[in-house]
Amino acid sequence: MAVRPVDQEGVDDFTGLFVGHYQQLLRLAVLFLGDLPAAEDVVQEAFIRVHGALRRRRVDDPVAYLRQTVVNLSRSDLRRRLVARRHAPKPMPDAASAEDDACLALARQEVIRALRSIPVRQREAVVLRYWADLPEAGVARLMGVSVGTVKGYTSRGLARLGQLLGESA
Amino acid sequence: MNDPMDPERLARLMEDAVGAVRPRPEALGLIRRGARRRHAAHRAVAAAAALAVIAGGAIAYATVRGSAPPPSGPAASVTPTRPPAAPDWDVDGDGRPDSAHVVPLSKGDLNTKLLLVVQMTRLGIQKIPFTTAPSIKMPPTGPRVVGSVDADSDGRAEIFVMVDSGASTQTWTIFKLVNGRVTQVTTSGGPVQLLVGGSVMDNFGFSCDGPHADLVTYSYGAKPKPKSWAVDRDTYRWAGSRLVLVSKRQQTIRASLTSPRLAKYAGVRCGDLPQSAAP
Repeated sequence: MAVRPVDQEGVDDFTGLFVGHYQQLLRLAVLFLGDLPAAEDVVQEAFIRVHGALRRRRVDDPVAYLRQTVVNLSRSDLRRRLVARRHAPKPMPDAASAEDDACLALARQEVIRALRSIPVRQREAVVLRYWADLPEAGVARLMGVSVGTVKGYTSRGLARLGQLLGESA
Repeated sequence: MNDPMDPERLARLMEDAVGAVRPRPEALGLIRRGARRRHAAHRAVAAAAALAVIAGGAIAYATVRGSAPPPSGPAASVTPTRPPAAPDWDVDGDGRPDSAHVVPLSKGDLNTKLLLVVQMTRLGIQKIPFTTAPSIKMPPTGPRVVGSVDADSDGRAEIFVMVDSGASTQTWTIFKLVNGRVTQVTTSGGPVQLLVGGSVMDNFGFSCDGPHADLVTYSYGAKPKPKSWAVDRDTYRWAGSRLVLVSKRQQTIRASLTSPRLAKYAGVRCGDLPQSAAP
């Protein structure tokens, strides 16, 4: 997808990038993180970064840039959350908002719970391979590993998900 | 033993799970505002750097010509200076040291309700209830006050409290005096949680010693490639009893485990605060 640098004339191009890809990237981040607010943070940050990169004319393929940034930021967010969540205080009882309902509905999805329980790399591999429908080489590029490693991750990921979701089928 | 998941079924389940996820209506506006702020910040940094280069050149020129550089030139105005900090433990800003300690609200190892008791020379005693994660140790081996330094240079020292500790990582939170009341500092709607410590592969720390008195959290974690590390650096600005995230930076650095380049993303650099809450 060709997108001109972001400037006065290029504003519509950035809007086009948002309209065309924000939702898919948000869903990708939700599958990685299992958490809607965190996914929104990650994808918004990715768009802010691509905006800057386009302005500085430092990006040839903004969609690939966005996808890579979402993968990197999600990984980083998870690493932090793994530790932080263990220490999180119990939330105070409060009336649930519509947004809370959406989050809860998401958390109730068995597949989200199952994805959250497998190792991060396996989760990335199965989501990118089977939900984003990327070829193994594309997944390998995004994850910064070899194609063989991707095959290993997806194979182990599918096996574990078969155990987790097979019982509930 | 179950069979591996059928990829097509998995794809369908994932699509069903996230099919209802839609962008917020204000998302594009938030991104545009964020991009504008980021751009303005970059321009400010670039302008400061350019001024510093010009000032450096002027000093070099003056030195070569044999005249001493002026004591306060453009370079001095480029580097932001934070106001002088209050003495450690001066929580209420009257110049005299105060004290604080943590007590459990009830007995039992699963107690998550605690009280921070602050005794101030000007404002007297204040008791602030707060909660922590379950299954924690109780004082004195569990949550306790780590120290008190003026992290935001507002003339009053903040109180740092360790609320949980694992094998290698501790979680700290912050209390500060706002409008005459000691309050737990929040960020993103919840109590602030600073991760401190870590192991060989992951490390967490924070700093408050920068020129703008921002609070900067940083961490690094090993990437799959050898000697390759994912480094995160988040900057928070003080706003009353809140810490507002103003920038997130992520980078990959190649360095050995003992490299100073890596070491600067670990540990506590905030006044005289210790590196960990020793029992």
